[in-house]
Amino acid sequence: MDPHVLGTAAVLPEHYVDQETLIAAFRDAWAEKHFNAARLEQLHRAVQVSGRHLALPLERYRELRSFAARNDAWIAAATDLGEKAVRAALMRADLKPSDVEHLVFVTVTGLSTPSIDARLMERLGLRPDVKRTPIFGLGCVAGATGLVRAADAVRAHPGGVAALLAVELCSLTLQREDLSVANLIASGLFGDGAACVLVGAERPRRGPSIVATRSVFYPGTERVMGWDIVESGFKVVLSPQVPHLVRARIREDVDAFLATQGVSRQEIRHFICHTGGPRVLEAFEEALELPAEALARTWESLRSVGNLSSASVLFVLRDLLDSGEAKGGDLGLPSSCTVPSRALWGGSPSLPSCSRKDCATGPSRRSAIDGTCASSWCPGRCRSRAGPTASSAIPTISRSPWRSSPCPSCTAPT
Amino acid sequence: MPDPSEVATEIARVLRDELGLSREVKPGDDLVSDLQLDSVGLLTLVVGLEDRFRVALAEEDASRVRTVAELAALVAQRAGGN
Repeated sequence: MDPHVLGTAAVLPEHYVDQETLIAAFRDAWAEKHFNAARLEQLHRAVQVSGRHLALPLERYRELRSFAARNDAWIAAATDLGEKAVRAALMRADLKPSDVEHLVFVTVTGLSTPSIDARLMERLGLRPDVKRTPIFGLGCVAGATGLVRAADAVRAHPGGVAALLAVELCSLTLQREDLSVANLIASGLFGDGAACVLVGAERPRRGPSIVATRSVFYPGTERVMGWDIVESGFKVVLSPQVPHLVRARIREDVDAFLATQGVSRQEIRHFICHTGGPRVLEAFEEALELPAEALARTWESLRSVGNLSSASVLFVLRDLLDSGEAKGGDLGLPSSCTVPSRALWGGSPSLPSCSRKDCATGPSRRSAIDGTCASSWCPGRCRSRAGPTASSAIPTISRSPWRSSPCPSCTAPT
Repeated sequence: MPDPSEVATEIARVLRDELGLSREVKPGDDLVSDLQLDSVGLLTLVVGLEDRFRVALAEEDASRVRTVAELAALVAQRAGGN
């Protein structure tokens, strides 16, 4: 029997801050280095995020002046939020902590030894023989990849339950002194959150099955996304080439993966896509020729809470399963994004064309006549965009009641 | 006051060093259709030029700019106080 999803949960820290408040908090730092600070505010608005949930109250961040201080805060907050996510998933799946046999923990926003999964053992009352797999460094793609690892564990031990826990506290990686455009985009895009997915095989079926997975590595992409580790912590590497990479690769790789299962892209009913960022999602939609609204949940997640790195695709998965729209027999394609992975699960969204609400110049520049952007800084000015875009990820397919197969290999930025 | 060729050199530098463009940049290149700059790419380029030449480009300015040469001329003009 294929591994299947037993339950999902997604949790957010309680400290919500709207985007305009965050812009105001950054404004003074921008003005120190950049001649036209107002231009930089456009970058924050361009990511289309309305606000973020933060691990700490906003005023606490100024106190965290060193990597050590930020990482200590990360360990405490990640442990608390991770506990909430696992407990919520167990409750929703009607399972007990003692049912968990394997715990996969993924993150890219903090360091801890013992790892967060170890710190949760006693707090959650997990069995001492639980097999733990902490994974650091996969980035956004770890959501889909972690699901694959959990499914692998269940295939090896079908009687057990595997838990995937993703905790990302991006706010605690912020480098105030880094005023590069990449960091300014990241500071406007990324938020904090945690998600847990429980996977089993010989348990009553509650969610989609994971029937096939694939990872794809893209050579020569080491500087597309990642961290430079500096004395102050994690300095973001975020190349504007990510959307181009998605456009160049995603369709061919997704189609090749689906072909191995005898499935066409048109048969995928649910695309569970990492939130990436506006450009990456547009590239994803275009490349896969997705119909309008196919990525609606991903866009909504991006706008409401920002990019949560590896947790994002799991938030979208939770939203889809809670909606009840996924029916027996549907095919889904989960996909995470970061340079080398994608996931396939099922669904299909699409994108609005040239209304350019994503435009960095903001909604006030939009034409009231045809919805196109009046700003020449908007790339939509000379092209009529129609069609969707997307980000990359790794696929998974499941069957009965659905099929979903996650496969991690993704490309995309935030 | 910089001349347009100095600005064009800086444009090429930003495109290469900050946006990862590997091909040669020509004065007649369209910023969007030839250089494939999206809104983030365009803003990265504009921020670099504003910081380097201490100018603030307005939306009205942008509406007249499509090519590398036009952008270089605009920045040179603004830096000269026009």
